[in-house]
Formats: sequence, C-alpha cells, structure tokens
Amino acid sequence: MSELTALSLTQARDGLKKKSFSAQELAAAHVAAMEKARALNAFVLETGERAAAMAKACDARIASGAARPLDGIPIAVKDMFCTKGVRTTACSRILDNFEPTYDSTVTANLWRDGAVLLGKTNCDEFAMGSSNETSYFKPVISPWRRKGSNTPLTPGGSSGGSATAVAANLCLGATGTDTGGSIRQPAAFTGTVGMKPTYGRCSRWGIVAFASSLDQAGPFARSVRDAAILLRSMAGPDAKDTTCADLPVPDYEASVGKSVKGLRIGIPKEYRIDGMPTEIEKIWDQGKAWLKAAGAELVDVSLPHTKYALPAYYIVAPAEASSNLARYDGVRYGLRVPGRDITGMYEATRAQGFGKEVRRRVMIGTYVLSAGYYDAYYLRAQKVRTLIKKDFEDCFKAGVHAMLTPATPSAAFGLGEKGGADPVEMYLNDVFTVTVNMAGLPGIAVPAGLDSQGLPLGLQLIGRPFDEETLFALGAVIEDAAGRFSPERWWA
Amino acid sequence: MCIACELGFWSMIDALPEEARERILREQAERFACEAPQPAAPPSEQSRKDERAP
Repeated sequence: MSELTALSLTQARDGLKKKSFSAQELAAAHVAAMEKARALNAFVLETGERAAAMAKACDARIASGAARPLDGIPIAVKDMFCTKGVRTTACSRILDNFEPTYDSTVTANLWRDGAVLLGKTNCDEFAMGSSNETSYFKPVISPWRRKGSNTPLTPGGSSGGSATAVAANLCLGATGTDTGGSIRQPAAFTGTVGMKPTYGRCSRWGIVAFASSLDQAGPFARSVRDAAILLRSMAGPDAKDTTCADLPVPDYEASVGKSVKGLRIGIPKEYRIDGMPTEIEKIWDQGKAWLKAAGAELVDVSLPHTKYALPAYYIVAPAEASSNLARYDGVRYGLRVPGRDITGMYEATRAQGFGKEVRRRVMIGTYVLSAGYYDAYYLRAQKVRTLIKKDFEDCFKAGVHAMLTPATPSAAFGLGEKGGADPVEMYLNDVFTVTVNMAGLPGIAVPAGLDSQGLPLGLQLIGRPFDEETLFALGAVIEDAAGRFSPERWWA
Repeated sequence: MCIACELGFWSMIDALPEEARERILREQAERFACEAPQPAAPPSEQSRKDERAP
C-alpha cells in the first residue's frame, strides 16, 4: 500500500471519490509509513487508532454520498494546536501530558471537513526556534541529506515535524504555525509548500500562544494546489477570536493555474544581503525569469526598513511570549515541581519546565517590558514595525501585486551547526521571513530547485493583505517551472 | 483583550477592505467601551411638528 502514500492530496481526494481505495486503506498506509519513519522523530504522538476510527466514519459518509471536502485525507497536526482528548504539549516539558478538553478552531474546521488525524508533530518548544533543536522531544531529523553524506540535517523550525512528515510522505498535508517564519523556513528546507496566511485569516483560538500579534496558522503540502485545498478548510471567521477576520474564505484551489499575466511583482533590493550564497542569488534570478516568462512584470522596489525587522522582531516576540507564558505556573497546566512554598513551586516548575531558549526569551521579554526600558525597547520596536508595514503599503499602493524574495539565506544546515555559542546566528535564519509577520501579510514558500549538495531551496512570495489567491497563482507558476522535489528514502 | 491581541486586532482591521472594515468595527463596537455605539437620537422638535396627527 506504499503507493498510496506517494499520492498528492488532490490525487487522494479524487481516488477516494472514485472509490479506487478506501479512507481506511489510505489511513493504514500512512500509519505504516509513520511507524517505519520513527528515525525522523517527526511525530511526538501517533494516533493510529483514532485515525482508523475517523477514516471509518469518512468511508461511511463517502458511501452514503455525503462526502465532505477533505473526507479521508490523513493529516498531521503541529503540537501547538489543541486537540480534544489528544495530548498537546507545544513540545515543552511544562505542558507534560496536558490533554485539552477542546479542539482549536483550525483543527475543528479540519475535522468538520473530514480530515483524519494521524498524530501530533514535533516542533521547537513553544515554536521558539528555527531548527527544531529546542524541542523537549529531541530534534526532528530532516529526510534530506547532503550528497554522499550521512550528517543529520535540520528540517528547519519551528514546524520541522510537520514539514518532515509531508516531505517524507508520512501524511498528505499538515498544519503549522508561523510567528517569524516557522512555516516558510521549514518548507524551504524540506522542498515542501508552506503558506502563512494574512494575520486574521485563520483563527488562533486553541493554538498555544507564543506572540499573539504575530502568530498565524497555515498549511504544509507537497503542492501548491494541496496547500490551497487545506487552507480553505482551515480558514474562516471565528467568534471566539476577535483578531480573526469576518471575511468569506475564497475558493483558493480555483486560483491555482490562473494566469499571472500583467501582475506586477516587486523585487526588494534590501533582500540581497551581504554574504548570501551565490546559489540563493541564482535561484532568485531563476524565479524572476519564470514569472516574467509567464507574463508578470518585474519591478524593482525598496523596503528601506527591512534591516531593522529582525532586531525589532526579537523585541516584540519575546515581549509577547513572556506575557503569554506567565500562565505556566504549575497550578493550572502540566508539570508541577514542588517547592518550599508557593513561590518556590512557581520557580522550580518554570525553571525545570521551560528549556534554555524559552527561558532566554522570557527573560528578554521581561527585560524589554520592564519599567524604564519599555520606551527604549518595546515602544521603539512597535514604531519600527509600523514603518516596516508602511514600506509594504507604499509598494502595494504603487501597483505592486506581490513580491518575490528568497525564503531563507541558506539551504538546510546540520544539527548542532548553528547557534551553539551565539543565538543570533540562529535568529538570522528568519531574516527574509520576519518582515511578513511584522506587517501581518500573507507569504508562501515554494520549492524552486536544489543546491550543489542536493538540498532544496525555496522562494518566498509576499502578497497584499487577504490576497492569498494571487500567491497561490504565482506559486503554481514557480512550481510548474521548477518541478517537485523529494528526498531519497534512507530511513526505512 | 491583552495588548498583543489588541495590536493584532488593529493590524487585522487596517488590512481589511474599507467596506469590511466599517462593517466589522460597527458590529464589534459594543465590545469596546470607549467606542460604544451612540443610542439612537430622539426625533427633533421639527420632525415631531412635521408628524401628522392621526
């Protein structure tokens, strides 16, 4: 049944409709693939039995002619999404064995449309990281390897487990969250498609909060069309989240294959950074050529405040994180480490429950929000954020429909290779992606080629607010020109 | 709503098309004490005079 795991989501949907195979067979094939791929450490919880039960219900609906849009489609869910009765930890010890009593709106939307839960995927602790190395459950190993090397590589982060599960054919699609690039960077590192929608397109209700003004959920898939199908189910208004836009959700799939003729694509000069590998430059130029050949018009644009985005982000995000993570005190959730008194219990729980990177960010956040430093750091960072947003607005007002940039400043790196001595080295991974979160815009990472070591490289398209459709249309042009990329199977 | 969510809320509102922005702000205004919708104004003296007697 391994050929079932090689299907795209679209092909699987069509096969189920035609009754070429059942949802139970499809789920069983993926559960078997997951079991054989444990070396990748992509899942922190496998829910095979639940998948079988959900698939059985899907088969009954398909048989009765009442199939739903995602009926029988096996997916993986990042461990940041609350799933009713299924352990949700944000890959942190502090949420040890926490079982939510409700589903996040995004996962509830997916179950409403018939998707099948295969398991919860590994990620950086509280989504804080770019390599999956901060996970309490140990890092995910990328299914990709450099030519002629066995060095374990990072799949990127923080949604590395979801990206890996999709790239290694362990599921047909997956959910991720993106606060500074956590969907687009792992998508680029694993040769998958990752979409971060506009802030407000997907409800954040029931997603473990990291930085509330930046967090957004989105899909991973092996094709642009598959990502479009998933996003349609994930998105939509939600009365439980005031920051979720009350807008109708378009039929994103219909925009895949649409002509991009006449669209004006901005090429921001500030994204050409010192020390950027030639191969990234080359793939960017190639992307421009593909879009031009499809009839799009390329325009040089300037986003002058880009250089301030990363430092401003690393003030805003830790500030919000320190506030959001204050709730983990050993009283209400997960881990409790006894202390001499209640203060001692708080201290011991938080010291032992949070990992090093989370503790670092909580301390940075507390510092920048403290009396006397608030104006100098947090307030100033918010002003920078407004300027970054205005840079994009000016370009869009001038008639630019979307922008094309590299997704990452390099291909995937080896586990343990970065950030050991200096965390800023790791933070630099997000240099092309954080601006999009700061401005609340949609962004998609699409695989565009392989580097000389055989590792995937991705391109990023940034769109106007709530215009994910244009990104799917442009992403499909790049995908058609570049082809698709799969890792050589070494794990089973 | 915490400050971070409020930042997110206004970022989402700013990004909306004008028509949707006005609609959502109108619908959600009652959630914001400082922007509570004004009660309907009583009819003016003139409009009362203009009313026909039954």
